[in-house]
Amino acid sequence: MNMIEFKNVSKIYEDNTVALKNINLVMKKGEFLFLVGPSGSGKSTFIKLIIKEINESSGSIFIAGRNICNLKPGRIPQLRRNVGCVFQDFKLLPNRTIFENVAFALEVIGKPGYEIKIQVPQVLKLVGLHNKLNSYPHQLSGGEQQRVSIARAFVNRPPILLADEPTGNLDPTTSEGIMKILSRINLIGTTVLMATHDRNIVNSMRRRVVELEEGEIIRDQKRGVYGD
Amino acid sequence: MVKPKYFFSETFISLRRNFFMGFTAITTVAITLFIVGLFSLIVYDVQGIIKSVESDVELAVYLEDDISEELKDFIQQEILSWEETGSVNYVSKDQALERFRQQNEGSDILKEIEGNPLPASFEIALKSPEKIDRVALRFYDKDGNFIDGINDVIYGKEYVNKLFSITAIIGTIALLIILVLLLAAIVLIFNTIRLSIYARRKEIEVMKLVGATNWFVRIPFLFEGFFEGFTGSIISIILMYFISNFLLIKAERIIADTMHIKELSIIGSGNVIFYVYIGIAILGGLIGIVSSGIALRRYVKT
Repeated sequence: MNMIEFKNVSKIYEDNTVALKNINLVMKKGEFLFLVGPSGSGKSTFIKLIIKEINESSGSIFIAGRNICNLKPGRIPQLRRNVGCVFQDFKLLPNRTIFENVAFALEVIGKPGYEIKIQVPQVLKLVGLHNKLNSYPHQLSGGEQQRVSIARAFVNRPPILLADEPTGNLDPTTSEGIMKILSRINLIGTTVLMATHDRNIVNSMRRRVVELEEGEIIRDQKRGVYGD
Repeated sequence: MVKPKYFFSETFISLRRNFFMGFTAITTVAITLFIVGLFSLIVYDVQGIIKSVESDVELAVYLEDDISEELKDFIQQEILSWEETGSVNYVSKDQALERFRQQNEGSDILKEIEGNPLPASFEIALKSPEKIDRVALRFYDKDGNFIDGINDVIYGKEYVNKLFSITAIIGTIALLIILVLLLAAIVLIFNTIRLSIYARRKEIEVMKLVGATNWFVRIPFLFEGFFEGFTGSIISIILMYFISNFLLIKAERIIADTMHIKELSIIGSGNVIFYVYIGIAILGGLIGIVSSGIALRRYVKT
């Protein structure tokens, strides 16, 4: 089953910068894909299109077989509940504990309290932070904060997980830990798309690599490396 | 999907978490609405004082000494039949002299009076003092002379006209000031609430990111805005209550006593204070919720 499908997708911003040009790409269920390329090559635009933070200029995007181009604004939250997102800057809420940060993601989609009490510790165990439930983000290291953010993105068990430079602010050893967690999540059957320009990680993982340059796909390789 | 319990608890939890912003918003509402409310009360009372000064305006109609009893009665009946007339008081020559003596007791002028040079008169109080001109004209004939039996009509034409134009200006200025204060209050409250939402834009961003519906994002903020506006207005009402009971009324009583004003509006105006209080409470809650709603538009689009 195709989880993510781009058909002739282009994105031109209002200031006429062309971010993506005629992109065609298919990601199957359970796949792990690295989106690589220099800054400004269109990686972030790619991710924003999937969660409909921005709209494509032309072409069609299918998520789990559904065309999301003409999605009514009222249906967008439903889409986002099925697509977890992790960012370089973590986006944790500083005045909430780790538990509350993760629980927040379930609260705001209306999950009942008893479910939250079961699911949050479970997912925090998955990322190895079950002993820091009551800490605040500033008490954690960068790697730990990113693991919380992954836990938050995954607590609702979305079939798709997007990660935009998740290791961008982390040192290599810590990054390795993050990649282990993402691999684990991928093994459970989650489709994972990660935008990165971290050469070492891409080379060590040997997964599918799609390279963007100036908004175009210039390479799509199974078990690829970062490139020259 | 509707979870009132979540929204309520979320409102209070977040008020605790964002104590400083909430505190700022509540204080802003309390202070600004207090100023608006207090000023409205003062203006209302000043209007009352002006009204009672206006109602003191009287028309004195002096009669010829040789006026017949029938004509005098006829004129009195005539005056009483006018719709503008509040009351008519007949002052005979003797009463006029007596009054004059009392007012000038001990003065040399009394020794010089021989007989009774003072005329009898009607003192007319009007229901609508601003029509005094029109009433006065009725004592003149077409040629501008006094009608039979009338010697003179005195009402301080200049003074009365000036008084009315001044009170009209005061009324307009007061209304303008209230409007400006109100506008300033609304802008200040709106900006404070907008800032408090701006401070939490990250929270909104995360909510949207994990798939919260727009209403789910909005409702706690709207509750909060309402709570802040309403609490602030209640505080301002409490302040106004104390100020008006312990300061305003006393001050006005002194003013009324020194100016010999019969009625003091605030004392008999329990209803007006009550309406001002209600108005402020509604206004506070409304500004809070509307400000939140407008401020949210920016962060809750899609």
